[in-house]
Amino acid sequence: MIQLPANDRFAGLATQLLSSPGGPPPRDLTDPVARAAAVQGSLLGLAIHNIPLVRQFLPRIEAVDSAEALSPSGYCVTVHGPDGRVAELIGHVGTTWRPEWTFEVWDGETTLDITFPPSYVRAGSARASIRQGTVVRTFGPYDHNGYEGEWLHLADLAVGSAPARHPLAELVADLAYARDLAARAAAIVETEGIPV
Amino acid sequence: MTFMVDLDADHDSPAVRAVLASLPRWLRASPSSTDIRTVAGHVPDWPERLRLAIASAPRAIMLTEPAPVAARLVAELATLAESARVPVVIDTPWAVNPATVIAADRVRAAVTDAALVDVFAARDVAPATSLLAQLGLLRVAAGEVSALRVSRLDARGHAATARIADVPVRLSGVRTTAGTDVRLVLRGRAEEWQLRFGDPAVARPALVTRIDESGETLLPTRYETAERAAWRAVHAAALDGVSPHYTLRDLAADLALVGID
Repeated sequence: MIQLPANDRFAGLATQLLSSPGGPPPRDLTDPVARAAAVQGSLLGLAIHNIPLVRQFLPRIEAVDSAEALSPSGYCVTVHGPDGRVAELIGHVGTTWRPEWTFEVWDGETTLDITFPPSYVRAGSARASIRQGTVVRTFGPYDHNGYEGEWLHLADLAVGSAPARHPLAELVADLAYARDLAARAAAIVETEGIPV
Repeated sequence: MTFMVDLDADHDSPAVRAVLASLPRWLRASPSSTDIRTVAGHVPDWPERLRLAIASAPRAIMLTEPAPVAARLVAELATLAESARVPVVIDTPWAVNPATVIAADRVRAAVTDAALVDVFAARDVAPATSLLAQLGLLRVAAGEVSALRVSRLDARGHAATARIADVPVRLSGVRTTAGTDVRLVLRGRAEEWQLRFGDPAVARPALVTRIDESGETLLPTRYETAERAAWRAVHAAALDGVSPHYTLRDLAADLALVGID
């Protein structure tokens, strides 16, 4: 689940922008083609940050069960894999103050709950909890976030002190998975109901 | 006024007696009483038990979280109860939770500008029963649900989509022993509502939060289970004929949405 205000709020706390690019023009979501483009764009622009995590738990998508374009910007998509596992992706951009960026996994006995800080800001890492009934094991939050982690890893690679954490083939597979998901969701949105 | 309650054998537990004991001036367990009868909704033959209970003409009946049965059957029972003037209160875990009832008017008003109404339930209960209880919650807290499409319903969980007017609704759930976690979240352009429920067996309050661009407000909490609130509704129905927030007619309509005829 990703619920965010516009990027400006957090980008402005992490740097001083020379200019704000402004958002894209509003789309006419009554137009099926624009609606499909909106969903595809928001999946590849926002959900893309979570999709590699989704692939960890749902390695293969058998079908997209439902897809909606949310107003003014966002998506709600449900997919399932060949063994019946289901993944739900929701992203919504509005003006409410509270940012929410979570990733949850549930099975018959255990749940994993990850809460991420908003983008851009240097607010430390996510916090992950694994719960079984009344027993909870929590990891983090740690001192640096994912962006800083990427730069630190890049530094390690540059001096040859660590192997690449993610093989190139894995990253390409993540991208292919995301493109496939976005294309299938867009196809559904183009042929189904009109969002509010 | 105190009413005597004849507990169904499937209800006669220390937990239910503890709830009754928390309303000592209104309700008291008493076998073979004709004041109030109870029917356990989790047993497969609950419609027949309810039919018998209505026929015994009590002042009110308590039906606990019903498992899905044919909508037509429940509609017939609703007609039977109405003609016998026997009110039936349904103890469903979220629709009759006091937090839901208190917030319902404001949440329903916010639905018109919502982008999405999202309900999720993780609990150790049959997924079809959870789906039915989610529909009850939506009916009371958010509005009339239509166009329900269930894409998945098996032993592990469920996933479905629907509409309230033109607003997309997503319903999902998982059967798990990991812990109870139930929520309804209304996401709007400028206003968000969150209703978060815990284990219905304990009186930890549901948390209702309204969020907008200026901050957020937690509505006053009420340390009362939905079950106790339902028993209060039973007393009000028996004493003054007060109609409950979620009726047999509502249940029949929700079963029809699921497509169980």
